[in-house]
Amino acid sequence: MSWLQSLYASTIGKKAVMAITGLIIFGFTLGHMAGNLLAFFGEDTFNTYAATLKGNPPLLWGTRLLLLTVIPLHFLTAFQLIKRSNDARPATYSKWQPQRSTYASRTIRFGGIYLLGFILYHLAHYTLFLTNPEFGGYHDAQGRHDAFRMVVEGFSNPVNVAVYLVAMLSLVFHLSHGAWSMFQSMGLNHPKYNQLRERAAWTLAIVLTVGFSSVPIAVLTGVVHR
Amino acid sequence: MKITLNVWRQSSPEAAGSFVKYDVDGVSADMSMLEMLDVLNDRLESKGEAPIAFDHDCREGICGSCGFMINGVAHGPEKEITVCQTHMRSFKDGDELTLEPWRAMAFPVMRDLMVDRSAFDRIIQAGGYVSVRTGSAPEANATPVMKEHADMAFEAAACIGCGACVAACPNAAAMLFTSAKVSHLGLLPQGEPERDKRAIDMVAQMDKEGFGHCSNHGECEAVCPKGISVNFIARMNRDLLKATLRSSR
Amino acid sequence: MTLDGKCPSGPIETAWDRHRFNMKLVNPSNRRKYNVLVVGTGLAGAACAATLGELGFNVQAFCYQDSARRAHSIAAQGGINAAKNYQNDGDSVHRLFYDTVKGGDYRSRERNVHRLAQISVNIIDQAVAQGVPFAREYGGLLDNRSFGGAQVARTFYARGQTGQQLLLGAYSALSRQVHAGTVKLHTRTEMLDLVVIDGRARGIITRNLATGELESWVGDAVVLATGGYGNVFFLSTNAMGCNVTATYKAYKKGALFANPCYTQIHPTCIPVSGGYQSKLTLMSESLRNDGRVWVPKSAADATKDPSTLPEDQRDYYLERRYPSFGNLVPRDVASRNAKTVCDEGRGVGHEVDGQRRAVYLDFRDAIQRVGKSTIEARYGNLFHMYTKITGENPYESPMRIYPAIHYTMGGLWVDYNLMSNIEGLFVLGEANFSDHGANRLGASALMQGLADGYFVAPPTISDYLARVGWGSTVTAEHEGFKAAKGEANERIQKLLSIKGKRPVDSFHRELGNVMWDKCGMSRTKEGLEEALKRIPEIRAEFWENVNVPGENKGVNQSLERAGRVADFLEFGELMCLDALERAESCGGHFREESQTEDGEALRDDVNYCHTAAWEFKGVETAPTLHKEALTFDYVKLTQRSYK
Ligand SMILES: Cc1cc2nc3c(=O)[nH]c(=O)nc-3n(C[C@H](O)[C@H](O)[C@H](O)COP(=O)(O)OP(=O)(O)OC[C@H]3O[C@@H](n4cnc5c(N)ncnc54)[C@H](O)[C@@H]3O)c2cc1C
Ligand code: HEM
Ligand code: FES
Repeated sequence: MSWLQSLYASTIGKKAVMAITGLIIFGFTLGHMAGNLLAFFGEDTFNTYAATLKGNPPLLWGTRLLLLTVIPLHFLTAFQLIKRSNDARPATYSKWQPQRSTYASRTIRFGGIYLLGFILYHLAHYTLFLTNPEFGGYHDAQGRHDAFRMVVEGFSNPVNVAVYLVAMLSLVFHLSHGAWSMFQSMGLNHPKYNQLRERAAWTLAIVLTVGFSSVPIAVLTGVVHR
Repeated sequence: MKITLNVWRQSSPEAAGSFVKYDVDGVSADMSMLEMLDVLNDRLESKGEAPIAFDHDCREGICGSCGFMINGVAHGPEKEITVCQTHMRSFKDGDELTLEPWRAMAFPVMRDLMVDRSAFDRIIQAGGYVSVRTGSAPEANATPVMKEHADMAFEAAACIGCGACVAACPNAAAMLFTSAKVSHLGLLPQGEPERDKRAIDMVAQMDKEGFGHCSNHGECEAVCPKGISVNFIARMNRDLLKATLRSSR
Repeated sequence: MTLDGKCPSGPIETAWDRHRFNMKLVNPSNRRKYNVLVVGTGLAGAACAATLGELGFNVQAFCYQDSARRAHSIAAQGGINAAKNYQNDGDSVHRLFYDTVKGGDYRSRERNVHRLAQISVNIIDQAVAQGVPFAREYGGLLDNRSFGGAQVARTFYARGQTGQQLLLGAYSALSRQVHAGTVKLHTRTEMLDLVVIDGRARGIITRNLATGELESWVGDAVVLATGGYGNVFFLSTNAMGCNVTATYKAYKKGALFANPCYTQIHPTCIPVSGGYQSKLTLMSESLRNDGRVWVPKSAADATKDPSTLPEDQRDYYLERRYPSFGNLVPRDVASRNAKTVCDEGRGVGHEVDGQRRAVYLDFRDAIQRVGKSTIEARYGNLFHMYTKITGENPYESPMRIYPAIHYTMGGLWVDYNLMSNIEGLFVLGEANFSDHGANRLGASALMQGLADGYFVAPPTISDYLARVGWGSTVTAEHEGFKAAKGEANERIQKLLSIKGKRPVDSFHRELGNVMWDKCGMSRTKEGLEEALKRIPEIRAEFWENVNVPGENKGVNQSLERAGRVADFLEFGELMCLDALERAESCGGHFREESQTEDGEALRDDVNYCHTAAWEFKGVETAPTLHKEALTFDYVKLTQRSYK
């Protein structure tokens, strides 16, 4: 495995790790979003979906394990790269005018840190029920865990919704750059398709964010209710 | 016209530096940026003051000696030219310009606007060549090269090693510089046998020098006086990843 | 002193091969015991240092820039000649040899030039193997163009950046040897003196430009590849740091300086725009293929908008005087004629010091004939460069051009082995005088620098080292080193102690003006005599009134410049003296007293068919002239004509 070590030792290898882990998280979030949208079909559909996931431990734990490796790896690598970047320019410019970089590319690390905080909160909120222990005790008519009620109650709190929406905003920026940058980091580029790559990144980022944001907004505005 | 300069003055690598203001009048639009500094330096020298130090040699945009930040942009406001080719007609009477040296851990300031870029030489020494002894070359036309590849190799080889890419990069990365050489040689059949080793060795040296990583901001390409494309960075990424995978066999 | 060029006799075609066979070799295991000092990392120096390193010698290489890659070879645009005959247009080694001897106006050594033509083909092979991205055709093979009026297409090129690509090739070979540990590179290091012990070059004294420290380097041989001295004119197409210091100091230590007055003037440079001008930029000669050169017929029209001047008010003077060559006359002829029309008051453009010194290079007719897009495809990058510098658009109004100093054919005298008259001192590239005679053809300097560096000097240096053997007892503690270092230090302290009123550059400009006026495109006895009076005066004032701020610690660019200008102030005198002595017109050297009835250059083969090599006798004492007679067995001497 020495090649893995030497790969990780190089900045390019680290960026490949960022890209691959980012891609996996990205894939997961797409699936996650699709699942969330089932909330629009009402309590039954949503709870069936939740129960199906729970009823399939290999899938559930497989995903969880994957994410448990990939997210910390993404975060740790990001942390190392940021430190390296800071060390590489100890004295900053008194004046610096960006020429090509975007707001998204320049803020990716801050968005990332917010996202990390958010992910932890999100887990505490809906997965581990640390913030709201009562969520664990909700059951629907069929005795399944009432995930739908949990979501609706959770998003009835405007503060909560705000936290989520800000996270989604971070995500749109994170991915509008990250989703094409990862191709570049993996060396997947072709002058013909480079522009397409950037457009696709924005589109996917927006789809993801709109998809994710729609549920809390719908709950808060009463479109989705129990 | 009259130009006000805010110039970074630092008397030695160890000394603390600061900005010093100079008013330069009688600036002609036909002067180059460096000629304007010559005029100021002549005035300083006549008074027995130390002139502003800056690297320069060819003054026609090819040797890569010159380079500093003008108002926060590497090589100044005009695209695809160096500081020595920047003429004062790019500015107007009364403008205030901030001149600051390239800033990077791997490019320590030596004096004023002059930095030490020997890290670039060490990156090339790590593998930026084809190992061919004098006299051992085959007949030049024995190996045809696809024109497209030759042209693309030329575009990468046009790098002048000025360091603007590092200066402009928010991470002070040397990816554009390194990738230009890796790509130039990697695109040619002559460079093929050492392609893997070259990518691995040059990237390792680049990292060792303390340059940052690539966040794909694209700042480097925007300020490169030779317009070298970030596509070469992707190409180097690909080369390095492949080379590392292959080295596991 | 008799000057022996040490050329091998016998048939010229096999001379170099036979000579090589007769050379001594150094056993591979003994090579690392020899130290070779290579000053300069341009094409000649980098190629030589890399090759010696590959052979296993211990090499120390020096350059004044912050990186070896920045030597002024980087700026060469047009291309490099080689007798490959890839175009099947009748080229051959003999033809390249013939053209170069003739182009040099019969003032070079036949045997050196023949060797150059032979080696030219190996250079291209070497460069391509290194990955130099020369232009190619769609079939994947190398492309060529015809350059500088040559009848065959033998010039290899990499867009307008041939010098850059060749230098980066040599630099990469050098870097490889640095990595291998055979070459140690000292950048930002300027050679200040040569150390000669018992008649042999044994080392150099350098100043570290980052710290100011003076250092002694001991070697078994010293190689100077320090480029040309065009900056004696202040304004030239050379880089700001180009200097004569290394070769001039060697001259002061006894090396002969040959033909210092042979300088080349390039006709298509961007004219001076003001008194602040620091250098001149060359525009490729290829522009004359489509541009028409003219000035107004009447001096009164000099300030008028050129596009408003009707055809009959324009003087296309090259087409008028040289109907068969027209705008494509050789560099020296084009340059001289531009000077003549400007002297007549018909120059155009900015007025600098009361004179307008520029002529038009007009693309109007070419654009009408072949269309703007074709012209753009041919010269787009040059037009872009012109616009950047002048702020004018050459598609709409004619370019303005004027000749500028571009190359110096003179240099330290060397024999066939590239060794000067000082044992163990080898001189390569533009720094020597060897192959171009009185005039250099386009695309042949790159060829010569690389031939010297890759192929000629390594075997001749090996031969020298094999003959002298290793194990010398000379160290940096030797009196010779101590004395040279002491002198260098004294001079630095002197420069720093004057603290007068004038900046260094003002003296350099003043010298440059004298040189350009009196020893530039055309020269007269009176003018040269005047210059010979004026230069010592400027020099005297320099040593009394220059202000070099700061001290000899850390970076001090004023001190660097002051040292170089001090040497130019002595060297300029030598150039004028050589020009005065050579009362003939040849190549780039036009003596007004020696011209034909219709004003063309008139060579004098009876009195001047020789190389003039000067021996230093003291700063205020006249040097001694030695002559090396030139014989021509293979190329017949004829007068050049372009009518
Ligand atoms: C604008 C321009 C265009 C040209 N175009 C062409 C062309 O198209 N084709 C062609 O054949 N030729 C061309 N030439 C000429 C050609 O480029 C040069 O003659 C040639 O490259 C000189 O190479 P060199 O190795 O001798 O010297 P250089 O490349 O000048 O190198 C000199 C080296 O010596 C070092 N040095 C100098 N002084 C000292 C010192 N005192 N101490 C330490 N180091 C020192 C420098 O650092 C440098 O490394 C052109 C020249 C110019 C100026
Ligand atoms: C754990 C919280 C996160 C942190 C701290 C974080 C941090 C970062 C940082 C700093 C970068 C830029 C690295 C650089 O400088 O080039 C980055 C890139 C990226 N991130 Fe994240 N991120 C997080 C979460 C996410 C999520 C949730 C996704 C996907 C939905 C994601 C996908 C990506 C992608 C695709 C990239 C681009 C990789 C590349 O440039 O090659 N990240 N991340
Ligand atoms: S001085 Fe050579 S590139 Fe500017």
